Amino acid sequence: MTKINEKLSAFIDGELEPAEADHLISEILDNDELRSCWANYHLIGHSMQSEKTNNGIDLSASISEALSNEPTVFAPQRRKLVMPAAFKQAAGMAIAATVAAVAVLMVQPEEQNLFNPGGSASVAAVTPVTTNQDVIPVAVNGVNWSVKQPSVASKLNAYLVNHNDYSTPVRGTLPFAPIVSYGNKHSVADPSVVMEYNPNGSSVRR
Amino acid sequence: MRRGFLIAVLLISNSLAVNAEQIDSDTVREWLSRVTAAGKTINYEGTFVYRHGNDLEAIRIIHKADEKGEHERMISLTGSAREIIRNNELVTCILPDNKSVVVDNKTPGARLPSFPEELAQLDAYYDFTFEGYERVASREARRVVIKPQDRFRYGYRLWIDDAFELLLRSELLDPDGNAVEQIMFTDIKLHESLEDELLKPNLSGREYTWVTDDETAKDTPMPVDASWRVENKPNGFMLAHHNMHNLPESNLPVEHLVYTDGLAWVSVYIEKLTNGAETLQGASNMGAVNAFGRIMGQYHITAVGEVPAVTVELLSSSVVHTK
Repeated sequence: MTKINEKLSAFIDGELEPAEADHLISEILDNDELRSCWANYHLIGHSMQSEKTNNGIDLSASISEALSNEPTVFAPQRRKLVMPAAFKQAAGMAIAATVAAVAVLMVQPEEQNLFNPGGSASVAAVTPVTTNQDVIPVAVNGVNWSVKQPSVASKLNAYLVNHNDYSTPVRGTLPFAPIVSYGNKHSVADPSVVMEYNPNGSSVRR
Repeated sequence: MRRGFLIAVLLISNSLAVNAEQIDSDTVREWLSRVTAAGKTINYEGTFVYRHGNDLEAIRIIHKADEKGEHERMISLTGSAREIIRNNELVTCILPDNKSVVVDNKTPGARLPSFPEELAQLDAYYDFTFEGYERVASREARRVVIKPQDRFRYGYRLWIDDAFELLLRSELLDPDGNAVEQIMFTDIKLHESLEDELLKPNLSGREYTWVTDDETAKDTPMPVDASWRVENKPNGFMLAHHNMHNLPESNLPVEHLVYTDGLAWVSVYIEKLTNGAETLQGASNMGAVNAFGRIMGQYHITAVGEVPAVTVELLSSSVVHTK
């Protein structure tokens, strides 16, 4: 177990050889204990550098305003586990959707997706943003909030995710049904394209 | 003797099938609690359809319960092959479109609310009707309707497996009785035991990005301001939780009051206004979920819940700060 812990740690730091990483991923998938361990390691790692994240990148409050003010480019960055706070939020919300309908802030492509040219047309993923109108909060159940401002819809989604943690609907025996139906027409911002946001407008690759 | 018993049983079930009869809330609540228990303890595999808005989807589910707890796997049969693996509180979502795996480690029981005891008298606000037997997924099911007595809450139509108390079908009903959301099993098989192999995810893990949700860790309890309250509530709605959170969206503390009548749940969020932030003013909805927002002094108030629009409007408008 100690050896595997070391491997996990190396994996999280991005220091594992690709072949070893693939092997480890298969192991994690097969083993609940490892998966739990992986989640905890990740949490620890995140809290250790949360200060850095808070000072460096802050997307959380008003992403749409920032996007409307600046011509911004998201840089793709594959298989990197350390992410900006706002992106984590989108991923976190996907999981929170396990209880009921929820939305994530996503960027709707007007043209075919640059980072996923082979992807199906139904899958909306991340593309460079030029206008505010491109940022559309999308509901998991395919229904949007009936509001015009994306930031308001996004706030309502955050409320709904939180609300679902505290409510017990009668349909509680199948609490995960909505997320399984998730992403058929609408998709979370593609987590394989881990984004980095630079307020100066230039793209950044780590 | 045996034949007499059989006839008696036939007569009873026959009369139930013909005459929809009023049953008390205790019986229905007992049925519902048995439904919840059955959903957790029975080994089964099946397929259900899920209708929301104009969308219809089919989902395969495999559920196993053993001494280690609950294990569940859901596979989307329509659209992309999304999967969810749940081992007790550990939830793993596999989203092949995004080539991503999302892992969430929930603290067991920490966030599961219980029904407040003083809400036992649900029949003051709802009528519970047993409507007889009907087949769902080729199994015999008891059809129960929970109809609200006013227009402040949604109703339910539930089909409960007569033998094993699993929920085979459910509908959420708007005040006019129209189904706004439905889940229905099309086939279900119960098992003594299930192979672990059936619960393994169907992917190698290669080329997948792993993401961990850590929002739960951020949501540490903070002191609440008890002078916030809602003055006018629909009959039967009582305060179930009062918390203070940091929501991921704003990172600002939000006062959170949860009201329930035992079946319907509404959250009221009170947040200090920030410069330049847009706020919901008036009504909005997403499917069956309604929200109503307004500004009160330095604060923005939003009520959100799976209740009709009038309910969130009433709650949001009735928030007072008694200081």
